Amino acid sequence: MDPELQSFYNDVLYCLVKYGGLTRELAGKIVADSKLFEFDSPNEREMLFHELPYYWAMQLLYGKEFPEWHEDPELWPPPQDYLDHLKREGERQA
Amino acid sequence: MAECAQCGQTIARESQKTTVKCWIPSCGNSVTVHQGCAAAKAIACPVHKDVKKPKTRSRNKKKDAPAEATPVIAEVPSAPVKVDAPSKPLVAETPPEPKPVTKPPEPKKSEALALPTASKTATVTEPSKEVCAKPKLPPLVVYHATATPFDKIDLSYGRTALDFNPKNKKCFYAGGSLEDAQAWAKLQAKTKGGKPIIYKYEIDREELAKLQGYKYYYNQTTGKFIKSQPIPPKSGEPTLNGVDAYRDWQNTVKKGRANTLELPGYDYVEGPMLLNPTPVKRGAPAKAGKHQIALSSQKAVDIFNNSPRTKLDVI
Repeated sequence: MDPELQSFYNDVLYCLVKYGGLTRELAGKIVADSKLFEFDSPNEREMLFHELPYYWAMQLLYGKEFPEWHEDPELWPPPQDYLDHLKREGERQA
Repeated sequence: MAECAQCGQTIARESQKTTVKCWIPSCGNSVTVHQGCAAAKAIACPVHKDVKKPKTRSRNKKKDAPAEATPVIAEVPSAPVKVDAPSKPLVAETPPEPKPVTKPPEPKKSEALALPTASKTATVTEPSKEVCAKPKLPPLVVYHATATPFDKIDLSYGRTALDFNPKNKKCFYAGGSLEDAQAWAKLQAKTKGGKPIIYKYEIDREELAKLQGYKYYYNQTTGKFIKSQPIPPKSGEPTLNGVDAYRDWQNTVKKGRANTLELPGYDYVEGPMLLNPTPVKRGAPAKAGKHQIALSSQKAVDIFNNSPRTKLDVI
């Protein structure tokens, strides 16, 4: 994985652990099983980046059994502490 | 013996007789006149003899055209849809039902452009209907990707806080790129299960232009960025170009994603998708991608639901 993709992957794991209560190992297994990071085309990568890692984490957590998870106001829009986390990361990188 | 359609006199000899086409472009009738009368302009057939002839047949109507929505759309290039047309389809398409062809009698393109001028001065109703026919805009072709089949669009299934979502409102999204739609459908199937599906919509732009909306045009190759006037046009909201249009778009998608975008009364927004929401949340500039349209009102959804739709299975 290139650094950009690796960073995105780490962010998805972070969300699965923080907001899904999973261990990092289980989060890694769920992502691997989904083949979310195995692309058939460059467009697939582009579309992955078109959403926040938080969205993909919630999709992996709830998508199959509870596809309308985004109607739960506690799950969508993304929680403020997640957005603050991204902002802090940005400030640190700058 | 025939009567001359121009001067009304009887044509005494066969050798004096000639035929010319009726001046009404879509008519096609021939009329008999004296050879000497044939040089006259705008000779009408008996059906159209009462149609008042225009003083000039200007082809440039822009100056006189009413400020209606359709020309604004026509001026904004709809290239993204064309640019994104697939070179090698990766989907199995069920052919759409053939559309009935309503072919008017052989009008040339140049004649069609001159038609609106004639209609302005027409005094009879029936012929002017044909004369008024405007060239039809090509349909807006967009794709919606999903892993959950559905019959009609229902806004309640959408999400809030996306690129062009007004505050607390759900939208239905579709895009001009088939490749992006395929990719999105696959990602949905990977995370939700089910089979990736694409719905192709062919939307009559003139129907869409009856609603309130605006469009950002972005060409990924040239970097050209334009924000159209609102449709229909509103005073005080000019077309934006270049950096101004980009900043306006960036502001819109940031607010859309933060669920703070105020768009009272708008039915839809068209423009490029945001490619990098995560870096944007970290403070990076927004990157524009390919074309998408967000419908936020039932009126806009109704247009889509009443338009031709083709289901494509992603292979």
